[in-house]
Amino acid sequence: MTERPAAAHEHDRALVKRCLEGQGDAFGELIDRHHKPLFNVALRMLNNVQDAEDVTQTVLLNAFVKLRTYDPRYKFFSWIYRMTVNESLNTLKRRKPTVTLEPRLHMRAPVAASDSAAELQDRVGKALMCLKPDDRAVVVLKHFVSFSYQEIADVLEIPVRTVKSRLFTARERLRDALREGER
Amino acid sequence: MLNRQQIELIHQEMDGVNAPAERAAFRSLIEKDSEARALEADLRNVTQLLDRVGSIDPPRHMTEAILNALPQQVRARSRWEALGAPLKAIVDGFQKRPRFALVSSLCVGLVAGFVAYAALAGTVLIDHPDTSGLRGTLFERRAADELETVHDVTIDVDRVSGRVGVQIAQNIVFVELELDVEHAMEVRLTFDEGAYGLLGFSQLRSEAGPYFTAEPGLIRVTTSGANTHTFVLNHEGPVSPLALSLFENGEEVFATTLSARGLDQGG
Repeated sequence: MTERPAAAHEHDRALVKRCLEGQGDAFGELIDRHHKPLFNVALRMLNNVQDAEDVTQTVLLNAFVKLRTYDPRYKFFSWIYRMTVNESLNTLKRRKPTVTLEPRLHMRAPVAASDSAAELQDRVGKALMCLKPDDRAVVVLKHFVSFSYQEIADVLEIPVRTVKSRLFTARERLRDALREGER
Repeated sequence: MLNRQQIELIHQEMDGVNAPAERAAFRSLIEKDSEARALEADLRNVTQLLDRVGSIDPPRHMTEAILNALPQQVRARSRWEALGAPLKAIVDGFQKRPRFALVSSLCVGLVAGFVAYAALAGTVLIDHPDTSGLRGTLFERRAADELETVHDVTIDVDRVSGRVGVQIAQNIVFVELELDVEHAMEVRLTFDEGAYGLLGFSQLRSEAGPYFTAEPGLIRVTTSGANTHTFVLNHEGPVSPLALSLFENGEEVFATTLSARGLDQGG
């Protein structure tokens, strides 16, 4: 499995350092670098564009406020993705049961997408929601951010063997959910 | 029935993390076991489907909302982002090659300077709010003590008051016209086109006399309210008198010939 380039970690660390030294524009660059994958993690966790936007905004604003608590010995992305997963899980807990009248609206890509692409988004989104949130987090980090087992373990603060166990179980459930969706 | 270790082998193969020995065990398993082949095919379909979904671009307003909630210093970044990828790529290139950036900047500066010069070289309409101690225009002016006054006439006729002064310094002639008119009027300064050339023109309040034309031997300016107009002429060789007149609705209301010493010598 390909690890994320070390240069990217160093760049993140340098930007955090600059930000803590008072160069506020460095945080703007951190936002540029991470807002899209963070949004996509939240989107796959929640299957709702508006909730994903809210989570991404909350996480990035909290990251700015709490930047001094970030320990540079660890990877910045582990810190910020952990916040995103946790905030997504909190949003799921707060979410009241609702009856969805038009489920496809939730997963419509904000950019123009072909019908088949929108259908695929819808199908996969629904299947992901069949997983337990903790298992879903592992699948999302593995398949939508291309993290290694170790990186997922760092983000979720769980052992690698737990990552594997959750991922393997989740994939098989996902297979079954996708089959169900085809019927 | 597949055991836990065999299932892990198949999943790890999907993720590309099997060591060579594990990969050999995986191949052997797939060859021998139909259930393993079925699981491998299923998982491959699932992972391919997930890969096809890809990522979605977040709405543009999302980052704007985040940046707007942050201090001003951070928000500067959003304008940078708005410049778009092409410009960012250029600037990133500059940052990586500072020498190239320096040379490029100098070239751009030179081109910009040339364009500005080409655009402004012919401009003679200049405002100068403070004329005390100086006479002339921004382009052509002299300290008052360098000038010799050769003509100074008070204007006091119906609906017009003011003065017209003529000062010279070597071959430069300054005609300064202070006017206070009740209605808009046209000022005409007539001169021998072979003897004089127009170097510049300025007025104290630009909004009061926006209309200005110059043609060989004749300058026309509209004036209204209180204003001061300055004409700067140069002359070569013998000089000749200048004629100044004011017109209201095409009718001449004032005229004078500026023929004092220094202007009409030898004219």
